[in-house]
Amino acid sequence: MTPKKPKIIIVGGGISGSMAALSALSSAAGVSIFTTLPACRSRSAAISEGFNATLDTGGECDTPALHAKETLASGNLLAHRGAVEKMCSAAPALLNYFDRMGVMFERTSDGLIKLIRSTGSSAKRTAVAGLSTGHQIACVLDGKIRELALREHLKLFEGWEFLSLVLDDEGNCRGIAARNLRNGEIKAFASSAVIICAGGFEGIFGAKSTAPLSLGTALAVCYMQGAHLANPEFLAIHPFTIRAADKCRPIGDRLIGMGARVSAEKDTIDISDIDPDWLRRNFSAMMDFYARSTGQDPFETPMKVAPAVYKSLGGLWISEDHATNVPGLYSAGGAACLYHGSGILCGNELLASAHGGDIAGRSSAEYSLDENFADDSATASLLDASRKREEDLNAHAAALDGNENARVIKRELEEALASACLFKKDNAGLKQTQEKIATLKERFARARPADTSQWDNAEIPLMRGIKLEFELASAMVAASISRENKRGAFNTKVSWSFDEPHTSYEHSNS
Amino acid sequence: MNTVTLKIKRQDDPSDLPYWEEFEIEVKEGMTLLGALNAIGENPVTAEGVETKPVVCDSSCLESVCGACAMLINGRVALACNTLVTDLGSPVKIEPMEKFPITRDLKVDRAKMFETMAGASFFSQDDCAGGNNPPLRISPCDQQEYFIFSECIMCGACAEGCPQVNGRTEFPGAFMFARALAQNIHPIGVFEKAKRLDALAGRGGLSDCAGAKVCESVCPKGIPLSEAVARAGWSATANAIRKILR
Repeated sequence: MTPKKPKIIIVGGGISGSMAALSALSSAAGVSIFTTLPACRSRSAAISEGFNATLDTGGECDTPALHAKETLASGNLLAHRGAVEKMCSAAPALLNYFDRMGVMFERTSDGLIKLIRSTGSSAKRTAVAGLSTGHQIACVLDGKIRELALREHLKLFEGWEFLSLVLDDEGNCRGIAARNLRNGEIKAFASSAVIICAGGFEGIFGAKSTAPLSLGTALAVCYMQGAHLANPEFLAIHPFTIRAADKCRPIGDRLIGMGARVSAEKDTIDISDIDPDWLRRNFSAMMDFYARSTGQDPFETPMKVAPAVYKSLGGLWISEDHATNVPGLYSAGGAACLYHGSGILCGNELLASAHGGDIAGRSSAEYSLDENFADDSATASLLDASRKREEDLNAHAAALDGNENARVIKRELEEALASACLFKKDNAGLKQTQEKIATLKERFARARPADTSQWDNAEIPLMRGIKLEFELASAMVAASISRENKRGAFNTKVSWSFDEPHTSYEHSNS
Repeated sequence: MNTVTLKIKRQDDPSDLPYWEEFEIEVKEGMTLLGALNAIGENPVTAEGVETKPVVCDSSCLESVCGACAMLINGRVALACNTLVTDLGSPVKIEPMEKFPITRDLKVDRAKMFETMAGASFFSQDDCAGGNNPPLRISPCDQQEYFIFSECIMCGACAEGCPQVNGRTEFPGAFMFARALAQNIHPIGVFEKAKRLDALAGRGGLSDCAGAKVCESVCPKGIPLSEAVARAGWSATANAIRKILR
């Protein structure tokens, strides 16, 4: 029997997912992307920071080694040294790639990419496209992926939600089950490898400066199916955001770099020293929103700011080649934990997503070639069983009949996490949160979906998502509590069990 | 208690008939319209006290960079995440965009926009992987001038406002001009400039724009779309003359 062309499924179509698809394609694998949103509406698009690469067009003798050193220092030496060094050496080529694809990076007077100095870097290293670098990169990748889908080089399943992994008896990943968000149809798809690029779980916190859709649903599913989590207790906090009722809008480190002054209490920002032309060109929408929501002119009165959760730094536990402990399961981008340690260097987020996707795509393709993947009857029965199980779970979620509103429970959970797990953690508060999670779980058993129709139903995914939020919240709280004894040079590893998350430690190899 | 009344046009699925429902929402400080729509989900009961389903709408980033939550607010297209409830008065009339097929409630299907973009190579197609190729040079003046055209968030507001986007023309909306212009000055994008201009000059392209300029006034990113159309027009004309002389 001749081995079939390996098929790789990518969950998530943001920057890391698109990059994984492109690099898997170049390794001659068949690629399918499952995504709920178009790439240009993904969380990647809301990253306003720039892209770090040591092109050194500022002429400051900046090197990848210095970039790696500063990256490791921002993560308190908890990131993987080898992987970080590789990422920093690959950065200039990636930036060059995006530049060639049409991202409108700012230019120096001789037409090269202009680099700016961002927080935590000792050299000018960050390429920016206004205040929407993430959006620009997501857009060009979106265009490229669509063009490839149009020419049938890859399959794009837009509006499909990942439900679970299909695992065989030996625990190898054999595909996924997914649900068409529009008509509710559930289907299982075979593949030789799966790459999770569906983002982190920063959305489960009350005070957040990020997309509320980043709930970590996909990574939580993998965690419950046996993949290990790494460092779920680490969060990146955005120190300066505009507080609004639904979400905190990040005003970006860029303003500080441009000369904005922060008050001693760190609760207001004075922008009167910044060039008004620059502000108007890059920042008018946010200023306008601030002025309307607070009734104050930011040019006259210092802007009121507050800290908020920006990004979950932990995620699936992956090796240097982006493989999880489940054979055939890979991960990249916000869903995985490798490059950031306990803190993130400004401008590294886009780089880590793009580079991580690139590596994950390549190594999953290599794995698939070795694996001699066969699309046989055994796989077909696995897929069938998985589809049935998911249909039952959905039917179960739809049949819940109590008097609790799931959205209220979700909001209370998010508020509890925000109050106990953000800026200041202590064991008493964390223990209280554990109890709160337990009571909310009890209440959730009496919840009822507000909508059980089949067409374009957002409530069933929401109900299933809350269940997963509970698991992530428990993992995070448990990891925070046990971090007390093992500070410093250790990474937390969390594995799922029915009763409570099991935490262990591995020495960091930074 | 400070409340606002939302009058929402709803539809359960594409084949169903639309109906209206009213909701009373308590206004919180700094509440956006999207926040108000989400608040309905926590207590899906209409103003008359009838239990109903949560309102379905698209949303993602909540900071006006993803373009998901465009809808008609008091008859004018805008992003719900960038609209404050306190700026609207009461009642607020909310409808889905009319120029796109409705999937449910306020959610519409904008797949056609993406097809337009992918079909006419509005993005530069670079086959090489970046790597050690020599860096590109773009004049900083060009970058500053054209950057705004690459800021399109594909929300569909320009198409929604445009009187020429209707069943009788194939005009998809002004969004296609913006990205094409930005790509046309890019050192690699310029190789496919002629192809892009041909697409813009063809059916459902430049000639279908009647110059109503609504697109420009409703664009949430403030992209000068009528200027984009004018510039694309000049380039397409020059391109056509060049083709005749060749």
